Amino acid sequence: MHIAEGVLPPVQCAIWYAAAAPFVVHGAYRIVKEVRERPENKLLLATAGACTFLLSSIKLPSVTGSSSHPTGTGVGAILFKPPVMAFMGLIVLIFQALLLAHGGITTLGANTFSMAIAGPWIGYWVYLLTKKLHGPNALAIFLCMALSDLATYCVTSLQLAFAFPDASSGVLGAAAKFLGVFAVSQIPLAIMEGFLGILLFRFLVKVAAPQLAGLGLDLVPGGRAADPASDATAKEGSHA
Amino acid sequence: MSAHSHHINALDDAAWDSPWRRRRVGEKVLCSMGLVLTALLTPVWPGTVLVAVAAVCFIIGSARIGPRVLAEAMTGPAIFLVLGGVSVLFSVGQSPTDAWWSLGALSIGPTSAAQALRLFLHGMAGTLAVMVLATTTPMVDLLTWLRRFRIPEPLLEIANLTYRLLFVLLDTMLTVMEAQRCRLGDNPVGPMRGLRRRWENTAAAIGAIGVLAWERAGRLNEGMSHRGFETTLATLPVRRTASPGFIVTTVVVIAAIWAISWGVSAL
Repeated sequence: MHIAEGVLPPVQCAIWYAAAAPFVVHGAYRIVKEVRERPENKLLLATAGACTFLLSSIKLPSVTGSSSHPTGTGVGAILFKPPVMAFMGLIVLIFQALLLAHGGITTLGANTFSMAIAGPWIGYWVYLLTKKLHGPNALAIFLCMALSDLATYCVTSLQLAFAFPDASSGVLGAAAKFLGVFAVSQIPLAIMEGFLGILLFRFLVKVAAPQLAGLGLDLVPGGRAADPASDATAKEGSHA
Repeated sequence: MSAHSHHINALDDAAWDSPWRRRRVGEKVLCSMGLVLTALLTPVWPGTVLVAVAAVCFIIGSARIGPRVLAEAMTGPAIFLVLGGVSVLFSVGQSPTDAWWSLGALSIGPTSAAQALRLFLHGMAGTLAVMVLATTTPMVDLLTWLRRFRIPEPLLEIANLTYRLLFVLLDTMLTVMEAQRCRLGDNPVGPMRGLRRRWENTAAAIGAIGVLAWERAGRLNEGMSHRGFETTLATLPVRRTASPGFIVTTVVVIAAIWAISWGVSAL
């Protein structure tokens, strides 16, 4: 869920741009450095951006037959770290604004702050904390994915509350309203995204253990590398 | 998924086929962003309403984009704006003295109604103004135009590659999901309507797409580096002549909206 174009007052657009700028500039600096040192990673980073964009286009199944969309920022935060996600998130949001009419240009700063900065950073901190406390990988992934999603929608609700304070109860009342309408409805989605993350990483550990190790991720039980037989089985399984 | 992929292709195809493709990107950015800022800064009546009308006229009239493409693109933002508008419409807490309606802690009054209307109309006008650029300018043109602002080359390069990979991966994704559907992987039968199986299939599809994309990017990178691709993959910009008539029309339309808005406010 992104804030649509024209919704935020001009001053707040500027404030959110200013708030997002240091993170995006830091992410851009890291990416430029990474590409200059290892030009071969350019295409991999572009793939990460394209995957994040497409991930937000996948419908998640639900009992009622309706569907929701994941934000995909939790996966990016675990795989590529939050600074990279800040810049890649900006690119994805620009593409979403111009190719899907989701979000906008003046609200780009606010949307970047909620989806590409707050979500990935909060999710990643919780992921690191869970790992530090020797929690299981599945729990760390679940919390990272679910809280990234939830944080994004909570920050979006707060941004809207600052822009449209309630006529009776001010910013706090408006925050409660928007959290009720948007964030609370997102709790089931966040939990679903958490479970999806566990299944997704379980699949990746089976078929892409060397790539995960290359990204510095320690998710393979016992540090074993994937064997070609399990690769083939897993790829066939993806078409089940 | 299919609706999203249809939207991506619909807006991108519209941008590539638009008669405005031959216009300078800077002129279209001036038109679109001028309307966006006008929608943001002028009063709801008549400013934002006039911006919405002007944007629709530009898109459907001059740029000859199909009304259906525009209507489909606007569905998502409209739903968000309606939800946001309804949230703002209801006040929570002590009912104001001038409330039109109240029930317990909820009430609707002139202040909240005006706020809700402002949110909806500013949002619709702003989104339509962005659509002027989105439906007439392919991303490649926009990224090529951005080179003049001295943005570091690797960043533009990654944005360019992301855009190009998007459609390749979209095809892969549709193939994988179609394969799952053909094997009845998404069939809602069994305990909990096959929820567990469908979830595992969704995760496997995402993982498979990620791994295939990763491998494909690695192979592509290897192939391109053998052809000397080390720094940038620059494309030759299409030379476009300036259209003073278009610039004048844009400035006149925006100035007229501002003049009418000030005139109405002064009454």
